Amino acid sequence: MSVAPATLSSGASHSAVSPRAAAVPYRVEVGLKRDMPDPEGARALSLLRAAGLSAVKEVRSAKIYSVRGPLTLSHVHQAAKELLCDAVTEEYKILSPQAPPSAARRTRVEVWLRPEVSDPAEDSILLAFECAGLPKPAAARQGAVYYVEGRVAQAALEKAFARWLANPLICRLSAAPSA
Amino acid sequence: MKSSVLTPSAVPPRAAAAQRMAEGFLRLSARGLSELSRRSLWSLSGQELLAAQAYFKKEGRDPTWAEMETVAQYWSEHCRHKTFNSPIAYSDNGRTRRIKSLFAETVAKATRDLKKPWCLSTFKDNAGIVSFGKSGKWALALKAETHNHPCALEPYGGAATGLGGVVRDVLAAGLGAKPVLATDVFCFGRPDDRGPLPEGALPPLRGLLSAVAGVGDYGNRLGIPLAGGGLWFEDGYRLTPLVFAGCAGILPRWAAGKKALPGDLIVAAGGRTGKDGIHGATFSSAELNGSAHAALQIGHAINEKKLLDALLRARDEKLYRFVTDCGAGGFSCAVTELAQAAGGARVDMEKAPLKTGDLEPWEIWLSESQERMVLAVPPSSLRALEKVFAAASCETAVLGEITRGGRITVEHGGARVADLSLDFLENGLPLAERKAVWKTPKAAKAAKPSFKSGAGTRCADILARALAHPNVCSRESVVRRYDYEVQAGTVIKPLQGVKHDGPGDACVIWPRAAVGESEGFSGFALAHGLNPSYGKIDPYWMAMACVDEALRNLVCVGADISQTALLDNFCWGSPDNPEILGSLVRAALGCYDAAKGFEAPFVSGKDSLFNEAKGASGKNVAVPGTLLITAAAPVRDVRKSVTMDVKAPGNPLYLLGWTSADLAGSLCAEILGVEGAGLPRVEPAAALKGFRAVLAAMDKGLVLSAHDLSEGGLAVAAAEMAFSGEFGLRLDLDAIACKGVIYSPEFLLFSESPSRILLEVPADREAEFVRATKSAPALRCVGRTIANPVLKVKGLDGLSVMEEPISALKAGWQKTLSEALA
Repeated sequence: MSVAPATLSSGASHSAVSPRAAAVPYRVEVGLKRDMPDPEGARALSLLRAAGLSAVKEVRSAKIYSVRGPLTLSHVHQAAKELLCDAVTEEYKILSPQAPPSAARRTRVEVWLRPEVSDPAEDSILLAFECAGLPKPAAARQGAVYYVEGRVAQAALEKAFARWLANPLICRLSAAPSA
Repeated sequence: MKSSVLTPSAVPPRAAAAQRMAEGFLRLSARGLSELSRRSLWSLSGQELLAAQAYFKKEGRDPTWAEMETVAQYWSEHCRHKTFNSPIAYSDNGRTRRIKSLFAETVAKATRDLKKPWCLSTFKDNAGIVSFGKSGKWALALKAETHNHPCALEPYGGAATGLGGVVRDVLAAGLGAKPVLATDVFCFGRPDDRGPLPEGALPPLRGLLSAVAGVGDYGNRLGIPLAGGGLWFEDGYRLTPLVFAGCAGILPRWAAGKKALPGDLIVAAGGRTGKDGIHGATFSSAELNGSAHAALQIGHAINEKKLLDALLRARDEKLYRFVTDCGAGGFSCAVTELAQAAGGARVDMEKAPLKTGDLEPWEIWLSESQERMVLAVPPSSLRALEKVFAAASCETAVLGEITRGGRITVEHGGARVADLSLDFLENGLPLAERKAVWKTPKAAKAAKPSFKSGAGTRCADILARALAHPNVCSRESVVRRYDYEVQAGTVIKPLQGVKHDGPGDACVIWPRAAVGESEGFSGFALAHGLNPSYGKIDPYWMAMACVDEALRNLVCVGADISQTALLDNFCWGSPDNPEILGSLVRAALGCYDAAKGFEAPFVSGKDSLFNEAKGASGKNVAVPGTLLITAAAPVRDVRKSVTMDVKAPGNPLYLLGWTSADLAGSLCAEILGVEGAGLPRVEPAAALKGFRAVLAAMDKGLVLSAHDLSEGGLAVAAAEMAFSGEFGLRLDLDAIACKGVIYSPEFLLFSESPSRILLEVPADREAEFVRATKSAPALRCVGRTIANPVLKVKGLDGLSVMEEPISALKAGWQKTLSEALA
């Protein structure tokens, strides 16, 4: 298990709940370790190629959680380690809301259910925090992240995602360069 | 009159939200009413709007929004099946007759005429209920549903909630049945279709992948084996896919009936109410135009599982008297149904647990949020019921009570939201006469086939193409996504044979986990029949063929078809088009004749109409008229069930049923571009005789394997039996029982004549088999199983027609879908 220091949220104390922490959601990304096969990434690669994006070389997938409530960074680390992440196959990072974009080696695509669509994962996340002895968050959502390797125009990538991997009727997606 | 007069009344804000009046409604012209209906997504016709206006004139007031929304939901095609219940002027090749009610005169009439004592509840509950087992203690609830409109826009969520909905239908059959089997059937555009699509339409492959994932993710979490179903690919579904979900459940026979009483509390149980799913029922009554996104939602399987567990425990403790699920129309339909059954109801929407606080009262009343059910609970049982549900972490809330007043009254925190006469809702719907036209197409009339032998195409090539065809090829890559073993009662599984990858005809379920020891080895089988290709030529014969296919699938596993219960699912385009309605009528007439002929009553069903969408050219495209027949029948001793894979070399192969030159609508005709050959015509009396004879032989253990002949005919069935059992087959075409003279091996190998089954008989008991099946009208020994792993076919002239290694046949059969879905 590893925590990527560059993206570690530094705005909140590990022990106290700051007003900002209660209002701004923590974002936890959970992905498979690099040496683990990624069937969801392989499926996405196959669909993007079917959509005509032959320049896409590889896709890795991850899950992303947004958790808002009276939580400290320590709480979120504990939840990420014990609830959201399978320590054997996965690793997590807690994302800073203002992480600066780095050199565009690949494109990072985030997919979330639209706010008006109920997320069935929310109940389970809230209940799991409670069962683990953590403060119950006020809200939680689960999304998906794809790291797409290859020279593809962002607009073309977004269009392909909208058609093959994320239904714009119920999902919001955003693509951005990523290290 | 301008619609701007329809504004909220000047009342305090909270009450305003509850009471919003459709002010000026009583003064609106017919045109104004239609405009209002269009803007409000009510999908009500001019006549229906005028009937509603007349009712509120009698009441002396404008309706509230909630009342008009209730009327729209309750009178929707989805809830009231207006097309099937309306009078129809039906012209059949120029001869016109009046049908008072298509439902009453076809599907329901067959059930009435057959008067089967084992039918415990038909067409009046959330699912059909038939008796089950030997002890007389148990019953089987059956239901199949569609979720087409949501799946066209959001296939993952649509397919998942479609399955969730049909499971709740079975949970709400009688006082609740424990689901023991789930099924799914998908009709999509071809997975390799990369053609142009209109803005917003999803590619067929994307739709299929999402629907499969939706059913898998939802179904696997529920702990119900998903062991039956099918796939059909054709261009007609590329814009509007069809997604069918089915469920079978076991309930104690005492729980097959239900009755709420005045004074009972109305209790909502399960998930919370949110903004999701508003206008789902009326959305289903409209053509797809991309404007109904509020109807889309993602299901919550864990909530449904909690609801399922708690409800069945409460049933066994007899803590409620009535249950129904919140499906289309949400509380507005569920509570009104309950009120209709009991004489009246009063509910307070402020009591409903909500997902978010920003819902208007009418939205709470109409929301189709999933995983919710409504119960009628005697006040003395409330505490115990709440305890049972709380133990399963499942929320409950008392919404109101059953009354005697003949009205449904809805409040929100003291403000009146709706107050409607139940008589008006039930009987006030005007049913206009519709026009239906049927003209038999040339292809259906063709007396002689125009097929010219092979046009140089070798039978082996046709077979290879048939096996690789998307409508025949292996479904393993889809089936493996589903848990079909959970509950440990799936005796005959969807995948069969030596390597557990052969295509089964029907599943057999031994619901021991639900009934305990009381029923010994009693089980049931469930199978489907579907072939829209035939329907393009003549929907009457399609319906006959679908019932025949479902029954012969049941025969193949050894089910007792004398107690077959049928479910119908009609999916058509807009019935406002007389030709589309004409083909629907023709299919319904076929259903009647098939049910009567096979002595198999319909116990439940559903129609889904307006399956149309605008194509890339801007023109409306309707799905091909599609009928799914689901058939279930008891298996008296599941240990005697039969699979489709050949078991050993040296055994004789018998073919049941006549073979004719039936290639119209067939797979072979599609592959070769042949037209004008005869459509398969079912003769139920002769078919039944043959089926019964085979079942008698199976009961004595005289059949080792059995496989039905459907798409691709004898050649495909033989190849599938061979490669699933890993032994070869030798067929002699000269031995086949033919109707008429057939000279072409292509006809004999690929004809789709109905009511045919290929059987493997133990060599040492062949004489016994022949004696046991004496009464079968056309049963001939057509070959033998062989150790050499090839499919060998000898032609009419004694020369070899083909000799193909079964490994090559299997490889081609396995490739298509697994590659497309990879």
